[in-house]
Amino acid sequence: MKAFEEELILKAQGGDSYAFGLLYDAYVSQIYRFIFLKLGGMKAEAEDITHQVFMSAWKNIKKYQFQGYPFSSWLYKIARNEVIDFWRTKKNNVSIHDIHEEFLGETDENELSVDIKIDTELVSLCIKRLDSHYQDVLILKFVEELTNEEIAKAMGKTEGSVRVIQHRAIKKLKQEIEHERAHH
Amino acid sequence: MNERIIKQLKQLKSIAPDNAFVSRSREIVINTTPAKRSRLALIFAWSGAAAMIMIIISISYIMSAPTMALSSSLNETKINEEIDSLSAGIEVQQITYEQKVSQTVTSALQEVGETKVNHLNESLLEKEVAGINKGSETEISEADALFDRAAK
Repeated sequence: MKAFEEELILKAQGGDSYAFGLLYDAYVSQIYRFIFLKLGGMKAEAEDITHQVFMSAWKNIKKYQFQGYPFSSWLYKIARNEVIDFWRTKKNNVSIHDIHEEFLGETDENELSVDIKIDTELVSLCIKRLDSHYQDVLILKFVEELTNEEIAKAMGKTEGSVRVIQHRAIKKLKQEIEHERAHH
Repeated sequence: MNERIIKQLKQLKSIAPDNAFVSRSREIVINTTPAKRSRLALIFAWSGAAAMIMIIISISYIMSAPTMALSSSLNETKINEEIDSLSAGIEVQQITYEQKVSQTVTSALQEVGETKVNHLNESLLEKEVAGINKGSETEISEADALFDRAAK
């Protein structure tokens, strides 16, 4: 963990809202992305849950303990629980057409070709159909580029099981993409 | 194929929240200071503690009432008074019973003395026995006379 981040956390634990604001700035994009992908591209819901995650983190900042892992591991853990709660209360099926307009947020569209955009939407839709643990590992490993140790910490699992989940998750995602392409 | 999927996954990193959402959410979160919540929580905690104390006092008061009655019932002087009054009551009941028995026996003896029980008088019984025997002998002699007449 960076010394600067540790210092910010200590200040936030002491009630320094400015310090927590800096932590918010550092992690809001990746937490939003994690939630957005787990929800399969539901923008409004992803924003609500992201807000709840940081609100909960700020309220419970004193409970956070340094264990040698990034602060993001703790935030991912809160985010996972919030998404689980969301799905408990809402059963939803979002069509690929529903997420088409909002999918990329404020990303510069010139950076991506139309083919890549379609592929990205397809992958996102297929991620949503995966088991929650598969989603977590794929997003944290390949989108956020966390180490297996950090993923294990965020998911409350061993590094060995993270590797097994990662292997199965890619296999399952591949099947989902092939299935989706065959029907469109 | 796997490499292509991983490449596509990496491209998802371009997803980002709206700036408007970020600034609005950030402001709300930051303005919700833990100190304010702690003060509110402290008020609730003190209110809860006060309520608990009131409940404990009420319960202890209720519990102490039967204890006082119990201790007064164990007072030695009161117990002695109770025992004295109890034994006096028993004696009065016994005297009343004995008086009733005495009256009953006296009245029974008086009845016997006034010969209202004639069937137990000895001389009267002897007279009755004599009368019975006398009647039997007369009847036998009459029967003999009848047999004689029939034989002739």
